[in-house]
Amino acid sequence: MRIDIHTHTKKIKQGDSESRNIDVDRFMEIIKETDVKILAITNHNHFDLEQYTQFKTSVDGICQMWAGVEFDILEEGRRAHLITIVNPKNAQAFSEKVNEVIGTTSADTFTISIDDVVNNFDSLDTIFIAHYHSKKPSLTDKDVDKLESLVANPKRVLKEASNSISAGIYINHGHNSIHGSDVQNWDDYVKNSTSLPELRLPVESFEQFCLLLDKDDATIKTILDKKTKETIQINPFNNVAEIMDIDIYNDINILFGSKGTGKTDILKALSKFYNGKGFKTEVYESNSNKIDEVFDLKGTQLTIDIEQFGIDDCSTELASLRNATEKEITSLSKYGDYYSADAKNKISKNIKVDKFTTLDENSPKRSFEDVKNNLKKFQEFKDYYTADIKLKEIIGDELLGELDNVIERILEKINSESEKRFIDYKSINFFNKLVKLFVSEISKKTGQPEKPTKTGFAEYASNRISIEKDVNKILENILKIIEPIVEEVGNLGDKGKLYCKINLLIQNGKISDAKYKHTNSTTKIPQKLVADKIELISKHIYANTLFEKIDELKKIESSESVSSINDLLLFYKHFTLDDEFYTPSNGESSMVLLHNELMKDKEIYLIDEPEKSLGNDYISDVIVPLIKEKAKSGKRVIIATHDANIAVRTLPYNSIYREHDINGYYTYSGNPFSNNLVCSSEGKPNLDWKSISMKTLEGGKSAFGERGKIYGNT
Amino acid sequence: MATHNATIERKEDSATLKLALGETVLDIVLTEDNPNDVKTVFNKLLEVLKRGEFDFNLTDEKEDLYFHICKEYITQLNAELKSTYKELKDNGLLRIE
Repeated sequence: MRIDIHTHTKKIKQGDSESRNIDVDRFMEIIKETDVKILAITNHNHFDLEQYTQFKTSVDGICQMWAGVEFDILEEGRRAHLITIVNPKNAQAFSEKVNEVIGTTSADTFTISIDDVVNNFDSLDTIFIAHYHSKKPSLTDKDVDKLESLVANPKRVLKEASNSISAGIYINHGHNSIHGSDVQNWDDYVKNSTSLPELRLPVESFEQFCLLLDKDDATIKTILDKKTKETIQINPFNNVAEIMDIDIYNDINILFGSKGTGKTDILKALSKFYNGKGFKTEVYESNSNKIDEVFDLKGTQLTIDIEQFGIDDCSTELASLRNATEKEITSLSKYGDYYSADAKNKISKNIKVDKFTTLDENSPKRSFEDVKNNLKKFQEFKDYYTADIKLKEIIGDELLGELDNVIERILEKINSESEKRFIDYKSINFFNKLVKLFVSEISKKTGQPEKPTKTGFAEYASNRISIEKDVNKILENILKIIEPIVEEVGNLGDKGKLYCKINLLIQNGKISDAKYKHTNSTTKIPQKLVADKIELISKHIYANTLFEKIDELKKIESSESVSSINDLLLFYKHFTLDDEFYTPSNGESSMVLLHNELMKDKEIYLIDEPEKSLGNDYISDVIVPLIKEKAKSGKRVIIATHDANIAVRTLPYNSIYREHDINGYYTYSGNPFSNNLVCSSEGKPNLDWKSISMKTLEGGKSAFGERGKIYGNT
Repeated sequence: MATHNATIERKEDSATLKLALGETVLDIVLTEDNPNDVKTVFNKLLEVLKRGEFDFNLTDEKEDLYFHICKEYITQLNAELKSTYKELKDNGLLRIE
């Protein structure tokens, strides 16, 4: 929520730019694009009631419109500008008065004295904002003093700075200060509006704004009470005498005070309290976490399944390879034995079945299994869509019926093919069995040697084919390249983004890089040897030495630890900047860890000394806006800090101050808006929030000096 | 499909089935029972089979014991070469250029 107390909607003076002119439609569009919720029209020596009313109506409910004029002041021969803004309820009277005072004088030549401004307009419930110092033409300190002495409420006199930094400096010196856009060109307004003063408290009306200027406690309390708060009883020091009741707002809550006043204990007690209520909280302590551990560079928690990269783990193939044995072939002597023996039995001589050559049974078997697999998949698909009622609702009966019809036809076709292939396979199978049976029985009855039915080549070859298939699949998957996993760690400002990179390799028998480790093993030797041996086996598939190599694989010490390609996975996890290896400094580590903590979607943030190891710029430019953003969305942010940038610049709804003196510890609570800190123990006077903040916090003075974005003042 | 020549070499105290694959000749000694030698021949047959289907035709003029043995052996081997070629093909392991 931003406020702009100085805008121009018309070119009034000769020197005014044409680009100050704006019509109602464009004005409405521009305001909708900004976060400006209060805007005062303050043209030079001119107030157009009709335009004001039109503009006000156009942004009704989006932005409050206040009526004002930027008067040319002539005081003892000095010229200056004084913005006069009245209660919008008095816009009509203000218009009449402005017309009366200016009359027919041209805006270019009109001037008015301080006395006359006060006499004519103070009664209309007015705020006076004087151009001051670098905001030219400015009123002198003497002029401002005079103005303050003449108006009914001197707190209604503010000074306008040229920009937010100047405004901050004036506040530091005890001036009430604010600044506005003084819009020159409405084309730039959306962009420029982001540097307008921000309203920390949701100001609902002109009257409320004036009461805040007066630091009216009731008004502040009313606004603060609109935020959800909870009174929590904690016992952080395990001491009955120090049981604390503290208010926690769904906003920013700051715990501050000298070192050793128990702020961390309070945070921990709050964490315990919230966890007891079912929230999941923990105190984020800067520097207690090491970025290497948070991002698990050692990979102790790293679990990666290579199948997620489209790599088969080949566990079945590895097991088959280990269990592979040589297939025996038919001994040549069997042929010799059979043909050497003379068949004497007449009947056996007449039997021909045993003379048949057995047929290839493997091909029809594979062929049948293929179609069986197709059948299974289609059947599963049918079961899936038949059982899914929700899918049925989406697709509708008609379309589902069409699908079912097609699937049924496909199933019928596959079924018929399956039957055919089954018969082919089984008939060959039975035929071969028959031949073997006759051969065996004739041999038994006649005492003749059995006739060999096969050379053994097919089985021998089939075994090697199967091994080659397994080895090829293992090697193909081992040689696959895995893209590194890159996770954003955080922003290191001008240096760029810090990433955490996990490089992944599969041990292929040749990787010796010491930086790479296995995820689930401390040793790297068996993995390397196993991978190397598999590669060697692949070169001996059609050699007599194949099974010697397979035996060597089995004999590798701890080779059983490699049961899948997952066991061959190697990782190397490190940080990168600009895609180069990078080791973040302590400060950079703190920076990204805190940033990440605040980026987590939580209901309650408990943060202990976030400023540790961090630069002021990073706190101001990144951390403070993030904290404010959390507060805006109603999160409970509780921060123990010594840093004024955080304790002051976040303008906390709740400041809890811990004090220690010779009599013991005291807890005060308050806020920057009332500028009070009230002690929970009786007998202690209220403290001034600003003075305590300046005294206790590191960088207190400069933090107040930079508070230009805030309308309030302390 | 190529058909290669198979012949029987008879010596005084030994006989060998000779499988000619172009310039290479693979020997299966019929008078010895040495499975490893036969496996070596099988390995070579497999390597050649990966490059294309083939079978053997036995050419021999004597109808002696060796002829009967080899005739049966070649018949069975041809059937097994055929089914193995199909298996290699089904598994995508052929190396046909």
